[in-house]
Amino acid sequence: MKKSIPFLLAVFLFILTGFDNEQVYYGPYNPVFMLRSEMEKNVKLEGPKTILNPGKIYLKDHFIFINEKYRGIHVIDNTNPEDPTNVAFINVDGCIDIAMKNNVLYADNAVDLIAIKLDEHITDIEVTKRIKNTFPEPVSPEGRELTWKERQAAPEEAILVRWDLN
Amino acid sequence: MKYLIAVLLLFPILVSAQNDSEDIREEKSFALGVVPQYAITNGFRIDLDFRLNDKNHWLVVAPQMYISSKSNLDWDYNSMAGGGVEIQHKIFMKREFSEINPYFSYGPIFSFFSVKDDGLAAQEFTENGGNYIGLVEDEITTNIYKIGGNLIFGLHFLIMDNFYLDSYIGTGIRFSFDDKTSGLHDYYNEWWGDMGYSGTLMAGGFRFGVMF
Repeated sequence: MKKSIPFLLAVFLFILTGFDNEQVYYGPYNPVFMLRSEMEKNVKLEGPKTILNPGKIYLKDHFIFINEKYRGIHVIDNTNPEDPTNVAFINVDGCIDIAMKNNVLYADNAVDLIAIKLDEHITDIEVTKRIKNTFPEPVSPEGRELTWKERQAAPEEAILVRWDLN
Repeated sequence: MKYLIAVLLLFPILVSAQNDSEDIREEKSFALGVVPQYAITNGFRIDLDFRLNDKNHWLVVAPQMYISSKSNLDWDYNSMAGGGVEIQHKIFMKREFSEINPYFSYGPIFSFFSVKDDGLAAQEFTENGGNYIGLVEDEITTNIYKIGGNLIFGLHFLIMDNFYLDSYIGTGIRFSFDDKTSGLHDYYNEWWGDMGYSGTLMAGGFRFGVMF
């Protein structure tokens, strides 16, 4: 029996190498990347936008902050609870979570943690602090990570900021 | 299958046993051979053996070529082309050639593969003033470089003075890298025969050719 082991191993290896069953599943979501420099300068205050894919909600004084998943934060003026008004949108790529202390809004900018200083009426914002690579890459809504082909195709300095539905 | 492999292993001995002559004293200085098992990986290898001196030292230069325009059992690429060379210092145990000539050899090997496969390519787009990068399906080319070395022990069977069969076994090591990823992905590095294999391996096979 011992003498036949090398032969059996050789046959086994040939059998193993005769198949290629790898199936790469991409799913319904496609990754979207940004170069770091682009991502950092794209944190900006914009006019109000329609809420399409809401995430977490944060209440601070008379403002309501609603996360638009992977894209930013809606600012709702709730001075009159009978008639809340969508007043602004803070563009933060890759944002899925927010918190606030005093007049500083903390958010995840994809893999970075940033602190955004807001003025009283939210007419201007300033990124006062950025801690790079604090968070892992965002997984897709279905829970998958990047495949190796996706990693291979992405530019070296690119950061995954969101997943778009096909 | 077991008997088939056994027959293949013993074949050189069976053939050489038909030659009744004693030690072949004629000096050989050059050999030209092929290694058939390279065809499994869509490759072709020629072994050029040069005698270095009047002793038992030889130099083996083995250029290799790989080409495939379709996927095979092991690979699902669109096309592949490559080349390489192995250089070995071969030392026969005996100075004079006889019917059976044990030897060992060692030396470096280099291979290059250019693989075209369906993949993804980056495509920039602008949205709301921001510059984003999406991925689109495309044919991509991956260049794989593999270096390493082998240490071989073999039996060289001289047949009818000018033909030889050679069965060998040994060990080796490979280091591979490509031009697409920071570290070669497992896709090209699943087993020791892969184009992008890194690690130690067992070498073995047959070759045959002519000798002058």
